[in-house]
Amino acid sequence: PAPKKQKWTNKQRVLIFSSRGVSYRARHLMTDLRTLMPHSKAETKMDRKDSLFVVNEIAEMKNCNRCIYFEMKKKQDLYMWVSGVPKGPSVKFLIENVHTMLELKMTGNCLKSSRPLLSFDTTFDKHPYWALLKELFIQTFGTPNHHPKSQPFIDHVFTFSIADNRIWFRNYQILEEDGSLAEIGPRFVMNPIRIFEGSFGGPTLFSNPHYISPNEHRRRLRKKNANKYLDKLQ
Amino acid sequence: NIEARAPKVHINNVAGMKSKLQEISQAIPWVERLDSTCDPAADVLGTEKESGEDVVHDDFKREMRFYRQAQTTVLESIPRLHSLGIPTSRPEDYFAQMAKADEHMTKVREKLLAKQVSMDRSE
Repeated sequence: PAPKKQKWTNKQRVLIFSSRGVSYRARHLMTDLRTLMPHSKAETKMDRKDSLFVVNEIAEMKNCNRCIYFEMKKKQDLYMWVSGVPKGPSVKFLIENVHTMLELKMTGNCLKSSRPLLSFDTTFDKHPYWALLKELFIQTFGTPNHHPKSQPFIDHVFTFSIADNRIWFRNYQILEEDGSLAEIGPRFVMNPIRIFEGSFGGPTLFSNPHYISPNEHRRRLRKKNANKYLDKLQ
Repeated sequence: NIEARAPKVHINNVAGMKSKLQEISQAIPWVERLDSTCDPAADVLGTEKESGEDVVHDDFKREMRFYRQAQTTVLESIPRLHSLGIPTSRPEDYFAQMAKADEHMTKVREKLLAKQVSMDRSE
């Protein structure tokens, strides 16, 4: 007999794309996310000159209600937006320490489009902004049940943990049911910059006091090293 | 004579964030979301004695913490999935496209082997 048709009710769709001029590493990270999220859609790279509001229209044309958008400044600083499309909220992250799935040191493997378990740190419940980010991540990274492109088995875990005021993303394969795991990748660290009420704009709900922009960080490093020789003489 | 920049004002609109969270939260069963919030499992190796700033900069300890957090989630969620009748392991005769291609996995294995050999040689 033909298998009974199951209902696919939770219709989240995520648009994943980037602006022009992202580095190869960012591009690989983006394709990794696409392979791991069967409910994602792709789009051609967007011109950097366009304003960010255009992203909303693109997502709406693609029928998506969540969006992950990558952009790169100075060919070295990668930023990621995660946004709920018509009404928000949206978050801008600085992405640090990217390792993609193609690297050889991570030994795990999983089905191409199986649904992930989502694991969160308990710190996510301690502040309202972490709680808001958690909800946004669940709705963005979690694959809906009975999604037509998804596999019926659950064989990997997405881990979001907070350390050093940043969110660390890891992806593990479930080897045995007693809890032995192997890392699949990708790895990256999200440093939240701002949370906006709308999608790609609107009033700011939160700005991160611990965030130091990469320009400022580089400036401080240079300043620290500037007097190296003079300090040595004294 | 550079004009000092005004100190940055940081916004933390708690009420706004709470109402936003209310607005986007969905009333759907757990099967649709598969989320779980937990602390890392108790560590067996006893690697993490002192916590705090150190954990962030010590690669091994940090990764172990993430690993144990994922472990807790797995141990919590798998019985829950089984009680809902969702399979977690794939049968041997089920073939489907994997996230990493076979070529890639052979490369990974070769690298592991090469590392093993070089380790043995150095001993």
